[in-house]
Amino acid sequence: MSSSAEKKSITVALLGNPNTGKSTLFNKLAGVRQRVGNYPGVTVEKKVGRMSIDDTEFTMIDLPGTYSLAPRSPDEMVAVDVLLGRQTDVGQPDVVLAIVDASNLERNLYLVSQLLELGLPTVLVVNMMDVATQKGVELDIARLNKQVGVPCVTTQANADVGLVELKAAMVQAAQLVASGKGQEIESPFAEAFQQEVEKLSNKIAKSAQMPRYLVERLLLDTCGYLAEAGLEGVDSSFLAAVEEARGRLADQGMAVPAVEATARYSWVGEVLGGVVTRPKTPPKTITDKIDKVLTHWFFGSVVFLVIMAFMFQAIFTWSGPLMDGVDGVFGALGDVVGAQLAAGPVKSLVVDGIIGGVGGVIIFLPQILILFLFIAILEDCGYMARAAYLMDRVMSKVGLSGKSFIPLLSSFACAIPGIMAARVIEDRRDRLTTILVAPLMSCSARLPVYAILISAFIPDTPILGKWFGLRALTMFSMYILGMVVAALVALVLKRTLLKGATPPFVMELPSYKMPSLRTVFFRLTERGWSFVKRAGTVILAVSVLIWAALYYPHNTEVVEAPFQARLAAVDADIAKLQGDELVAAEELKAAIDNEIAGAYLEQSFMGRAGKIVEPVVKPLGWDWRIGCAAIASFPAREVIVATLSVIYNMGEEGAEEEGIEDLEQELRDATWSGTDEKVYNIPVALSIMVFFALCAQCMPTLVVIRRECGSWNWALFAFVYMTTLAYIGAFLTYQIGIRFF
Amino acid sequence: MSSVWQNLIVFAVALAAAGFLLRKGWLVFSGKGGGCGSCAKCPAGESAELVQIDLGGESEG
Repeated sequence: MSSSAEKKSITVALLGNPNTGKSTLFNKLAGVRQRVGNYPGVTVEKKVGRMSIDDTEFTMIDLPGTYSLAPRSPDEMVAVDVLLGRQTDVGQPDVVLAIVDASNLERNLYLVSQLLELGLPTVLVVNMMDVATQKGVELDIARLNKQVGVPCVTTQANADVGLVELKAAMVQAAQLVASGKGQEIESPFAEAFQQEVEKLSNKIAKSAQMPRYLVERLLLDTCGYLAEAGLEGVDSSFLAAVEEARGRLADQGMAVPAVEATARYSWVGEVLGGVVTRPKTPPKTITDKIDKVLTHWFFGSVVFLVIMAFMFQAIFTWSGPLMDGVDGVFGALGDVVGAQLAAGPVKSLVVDGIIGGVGGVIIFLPQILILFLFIAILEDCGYMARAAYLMDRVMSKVGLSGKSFIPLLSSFACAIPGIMAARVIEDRRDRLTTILVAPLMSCSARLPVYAILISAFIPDTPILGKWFGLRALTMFSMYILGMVVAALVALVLKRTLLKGATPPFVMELPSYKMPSLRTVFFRLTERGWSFVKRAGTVILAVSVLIWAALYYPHNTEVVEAPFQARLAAVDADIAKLQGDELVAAEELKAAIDNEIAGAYLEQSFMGRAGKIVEPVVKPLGWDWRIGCAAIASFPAREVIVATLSVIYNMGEEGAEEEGIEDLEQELRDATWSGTDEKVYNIPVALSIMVFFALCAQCMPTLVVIRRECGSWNWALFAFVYMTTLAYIGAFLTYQIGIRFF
Repeated sequence: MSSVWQNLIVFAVALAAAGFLLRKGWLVFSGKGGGCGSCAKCPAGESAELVQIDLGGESEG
């Protein structure tokens, strides 16, 4: 703690099990808009907030939700390190708010018993009192207060209940800190166990400084995570001493690790004696009744499929008018700007490169918002946890536990937080497997790629009336494809490179609730703004470079010379012809102009590079333009849409005069160079979609894989296997497709 | 505006775009800043220690 003449500064850490309303409480206290979701998923954010009460400023740190302070994975280690003051970024907390679920004190107090051993001033926050009441659970808080030995406050954070009392308790705890008094809590362990810890502490003290709690954890940690964590002073002789201590404890009937559960639950039993009264028959809550259907293997799966089908249909149906609106705005902008500028590179850059490229991507904003509207509602009402529960059965078949499902679920929005969320997986092989398959989940960046190709080439044929059509089915299939391939890759990895047993998975299903409008709105605005910002930065910059690569060297003499004779002849015809013959001559001139525009593209830097690429992508049904667009999309997948938009605007003579063209129509009209044969058809569109469903075209994702795995080898492995799968998938799709369409 | 000036302008714009992407790429590679830009606050640029992974998405009650 630091203090000054005006303000005292206190650091407060919030610790609790998952789903105890910790982030909600954090938001209420610190006034921060922290993302809140009603599922034990992932919130990958740095959570530090501040609040002031009278003359004290509190810095709040929201720690990862955890069931235990026994570090078995990197995220649990973060919590332990912060509490022990071993984190360099933040100081040791002065006060800890231990947040527990009022309806499940027995389980929640296990973590509290570990926390109290650290000796930090603690306030026990008994949250979610409303849920306890619904379940018929009665609590004698005065008795709990007396028996646990630290101040207790009851709250219902989402309704602001108990916050005044909590703040008062925090001030009191701060005063305790100021007075230099700690909270003396008796250890739950027997004397013999404590003596062993003491001996080990004395031994390690000769070579390194280690908090007593960590020494105790080393003694209890039979899975070896701490032994391999590179802690100072932990060498082979110390580990041998730990083994000897375990042997002596086992001889006294205190075998490690069972001794911990026995001691702590015994402590919990004492603390809760006479505190909790439960009804003999727990009342059936609405959540219980809904879960009978939603977690049923058959009915739950049907509901899941119906929800997904509805979501994908809505992405097409609801977004139509909004997309037309955005399209209209960019079309008009292109017309207005095009009319103001004289023909030349500046006009081409602005109209074809900037407005065409950025507009081509930003048109998908409505679809992105609809996708995230569904995700936000499903998360916030508590449905996502049920989806994870249903998927656990499938996950175990491929050697992964349901614990992998949460990172994979996050990857549908973006693979980066999904990959980082894999830190919660203790087993290294499972963690690696999850990280390597997470980018196969169709992230939101793939949505524009699917949407443009589906809208342009998949007929709007109803399948189940107006509720579900062929377009929604195609998009759904792309998401399913990613999931199925991820499952197969995980299966192969778990049986070869990363062989290991399937870990068990325990997940708490939160209560259902009405989605919070505030939370949903916040999520949508955040996503929408990020998408627009990205279009105005990365997409804009890439569009400019793509334009430059497609415009230059722009050698007029070389490109136009072969066409001069034909153009002169047509111009002469136009001057003397009338009626239908004049119309035909003008059409011929427009066709020659298009050929010239096409010749400029082929002579451009990108066109020349594309011709080198074309033989590689031709078996997929792609021409050089698609090949170049796919390569250019390496920084981010949706860049392909911007690139195609720029390419086809520039390849269409007259586009500058007319403003940006409808990309869907441009794709339908595109022909192979020098022929009338259309480039795109259904097999080609599907081939591109399959490629993008499976490819690793996302540089930031590869960088994060490298960081999380500690080696470029795994990032390279992910890139190679995904690109290979994408190529093979696209090849098979096209080659099989052309036999049917 | 002469074509020379036009070419100079677009060259400057392209140079700025290339510089922006190079800087962005460097930040991503060095782990100093944001990922692809799709999220308001990308965890990719956060320190490995302080990025919180919350098993509990936190029910509001």
